Amino acid sequence: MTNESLRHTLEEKQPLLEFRGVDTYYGSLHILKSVDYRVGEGEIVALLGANGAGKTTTMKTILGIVRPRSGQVLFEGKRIDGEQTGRIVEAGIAPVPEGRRVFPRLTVLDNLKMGAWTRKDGQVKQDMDRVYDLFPRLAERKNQQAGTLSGGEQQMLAIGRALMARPRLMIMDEPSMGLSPILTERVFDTVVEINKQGTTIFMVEQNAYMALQVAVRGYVLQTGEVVLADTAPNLLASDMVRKAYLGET
Amino acid sequence: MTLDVLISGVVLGSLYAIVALGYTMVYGIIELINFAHGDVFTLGAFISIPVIQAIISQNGSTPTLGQSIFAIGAAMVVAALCCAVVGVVIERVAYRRLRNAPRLAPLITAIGVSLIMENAMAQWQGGLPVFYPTALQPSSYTILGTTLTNTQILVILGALAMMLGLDMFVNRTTIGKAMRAVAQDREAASMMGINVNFIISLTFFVGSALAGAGAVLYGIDLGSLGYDSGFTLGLFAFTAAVLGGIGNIRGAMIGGLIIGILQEYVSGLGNGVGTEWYDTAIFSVLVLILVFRPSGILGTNTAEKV
Ligand SMILES: Nc1ncnc2c1ncn2[C@@H]1O[C@H](COP(=O)(O)OP(=O)(O)OP(=O)(O)O)[C@@H](O)[C@H]1O
Ligand SMILES: [Mg+2]
Repeated sequence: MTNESLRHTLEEKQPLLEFRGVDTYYGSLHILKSVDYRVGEGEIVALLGANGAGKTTTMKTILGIVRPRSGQVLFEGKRIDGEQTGRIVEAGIAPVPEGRRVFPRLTVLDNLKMGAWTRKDGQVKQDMDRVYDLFPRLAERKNQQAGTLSGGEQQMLAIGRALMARPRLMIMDEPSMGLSPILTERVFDTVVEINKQGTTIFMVEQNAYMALQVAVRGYVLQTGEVVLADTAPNLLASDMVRKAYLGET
Repeated sequence: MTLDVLISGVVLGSLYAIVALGYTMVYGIIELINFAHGDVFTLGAFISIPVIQAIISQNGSTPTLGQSIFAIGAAMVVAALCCAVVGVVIERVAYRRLRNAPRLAPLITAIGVSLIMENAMAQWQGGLPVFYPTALQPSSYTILGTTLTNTQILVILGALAMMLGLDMFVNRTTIGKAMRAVAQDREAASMMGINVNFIISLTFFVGSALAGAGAVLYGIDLGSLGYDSGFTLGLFAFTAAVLGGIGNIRGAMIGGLIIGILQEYVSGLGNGVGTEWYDTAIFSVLVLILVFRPSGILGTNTAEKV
């Protein structure tokens, strides 16, 4: 498929998540500036950008923690900006937050239960088993306090906790932060695996190379503006990404 | 220390522990020292007075055990519910808007709420201590050479039941776990879809309910109280919470018992020491902990929460 036709099909199909001209502020600080994103059902989409570009703000805007001053955020075609976070999670979006943010003095098991907070169906147990299948290490440590896990294990827990919400869209904020190359690789393998099982993924990453290996498309955010939006191979080949994120001159 | 002193220390300490729980739960979840908590306690005692009077006639006749149990139970339930509602309203009206303000702001507001409540209660009940109605025909038992009154047994068992109940609620139920999750990382908890405002309200509800129910035990045990009784008791209970590790529920229970025993021990010393000195002893403990181990007995460095 050519890039043109890819873009064409994307525009035909209603995206799972869409930002339309979103502006956000912290007080008088203008952070996101008329931002547009489209994440299609079943895709892995990467969001790249330097420190302070507004990547985490994007995640918080999706979750309703930060409210856009103008523009719209749509999930399955319905506006979710202005909704309570609880409603947004219930609608099918689950976060793997920046810095993992597991509950340090709850056990691994209880952290997973917190991930399932909005669930009302009786299938939480199956999903717990699925998480333990994906991360056997968590099963071994299910009664251990999350704060005593290693960084890599905490990342697995953060991912597992998000899966417990049985999300249609998982938003991940720098899942490879602070992990060794081997663990980073494992996390990305897991992301691909989760995606194959049917979860759409919108992922913030500093590790542009790895992110664009697994993503179909990506966005580059620069001081709150989307400066590039393209397919992953095109981004990998672009001068801007090569210079800014892959350390090439 | 004699067994007598130990028993009366445990009785007093149980009351401190119940009140300390309210301070520590609220601190654990919103990092606020809720100065009004002691006054909510006083309110609970005052509210329970007519409940007991309605069930047990106060004309000197002896209540049956059944009447006593019913009266005490009803008084505890009514006081707990009223205090719980008052606690939730205080948070909603006085603290919520200031949740992201500098920490001094809600602290001052808390002191303001405390003063308002004390003055209102002084208007309502007068400035002098009022008698708490008799709910239980006094009796005592001799065990291991020491006497134990039925009110002492009531306080210890009542407090124990409340503490065990709270411990189970917080550690075993999903909503209790959500409460701890909010205390540990409010934003992450909200990302799970947990309604943080609801959980904070619930924390005030539970902490204030314990104070209300505990106030009935206090009234029955001490027999009288004034509009500022809860404030004084609250200071000791707060010390207990800090001693145990502010924010830590089990710490509050342990701290309460230690402070109660310390107070009774110092009060019982002869030779010029005695009841005039227990304040000094207790607040010295507060100063020493703050200087040498601010995290308290069970607290961690990162301020162990709920
Ligand atoms: N709560 C806040 N109040 C004020 N300014 C904020 C707040 N949170 C973030 N900012 C500012 O908004 C800008 C974007 O922050 P954001 O966290 O979205 O960046 P980021 O792209 O995630 O960066 P990083 O790669 O370092 O995580 C930064 O300049 C930051 O200082
Ligand atoms: Mg960030």
